[in-house]
Amino acid sequence: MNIKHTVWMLLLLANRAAFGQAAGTPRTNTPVVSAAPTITILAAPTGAMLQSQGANNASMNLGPISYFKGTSAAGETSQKTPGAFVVSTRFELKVDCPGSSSSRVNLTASRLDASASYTIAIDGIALGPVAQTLVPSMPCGSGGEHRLDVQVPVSTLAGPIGSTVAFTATLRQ
Amino acid sequence: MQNKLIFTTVLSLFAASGLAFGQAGTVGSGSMGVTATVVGTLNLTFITDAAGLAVTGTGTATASLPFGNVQMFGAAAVTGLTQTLHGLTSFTIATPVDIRADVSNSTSISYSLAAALATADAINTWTVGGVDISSGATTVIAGTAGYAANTPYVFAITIPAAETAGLITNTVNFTATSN
Repeated sequence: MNIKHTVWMLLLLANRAAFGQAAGTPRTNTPVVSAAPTITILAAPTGAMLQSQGANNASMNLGPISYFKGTSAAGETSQKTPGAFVVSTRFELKVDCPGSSSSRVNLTASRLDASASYTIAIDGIALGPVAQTLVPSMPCGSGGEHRLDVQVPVSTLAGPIGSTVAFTATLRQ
Repeated sequence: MQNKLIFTTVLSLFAASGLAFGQAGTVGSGSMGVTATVVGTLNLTFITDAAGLAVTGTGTATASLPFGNVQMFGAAAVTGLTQTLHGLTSFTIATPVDIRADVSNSTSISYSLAAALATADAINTWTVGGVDISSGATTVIAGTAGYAANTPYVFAITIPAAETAGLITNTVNFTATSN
């Protein structure tokens, strides 16, 4: 085949007129204006109590936890490992995408504090300052249950602990 | 070779124009505060000593120590049980039991162990680690004991010859307190 012909054909295809549009009509590539997805954090039916603090924010108090006695709060379980104990519970994340309900989002989580005296994991993924993907492709308008694990070494001194887990939902095209 | 290069270039232009139709992702965010209160704990366990009678529930915090049938005269030797006659007035049965304490989430390096007989016994003499606990009062057995070690304490009961034969039973409550 003549290569020059092939190239010209491809260039014609790239021309907007080739798509059957009026040659003088500028092709409008109207941007879809989508509002940012909203993340709603909810208590899971079998999880610990969770206090919603308005849109996108919530707090969860696991209460008193210990190595030998575990936890007595409803919706929490504890497990001893060598040198540490893990308190686990469940919660729900729901994502809505105003203006693009048929889209999907990539859901990530990170930890905003840097305390090394305990670890926090969601669905088995240890959280740190760098966002980790929880759900690579989640339909807008859907929700899902997730497991939260707080692992405390026996060497951590008794007292209150606290962290903030940040979630981001990025609209996929 | 030259033809292939031209063709590749054209396809790349298509690819580049396709990118122009994509949009940067719109991002929404949320946050969840997670709090808890870590409580320091002590765990006390009773363990069968290698030289002692078997402890029922060994390795737990609630155990029992069955001495079995004992008698002042003519008793057969029992492995793990020491029997001592005190003339004709009484005899003592004794066996070691290991007690272990473990600590979590604390800077404590030692603990104090106290024991109290649940029901005071005015007839028999109950001792743990050589300390008389018969009165029922809480009594310190060890003021400074180390964690994570199986420490043997001799449990002993001295039974008067004058006592009527029958079942002897009681409960010893232990308390471990971090120093």
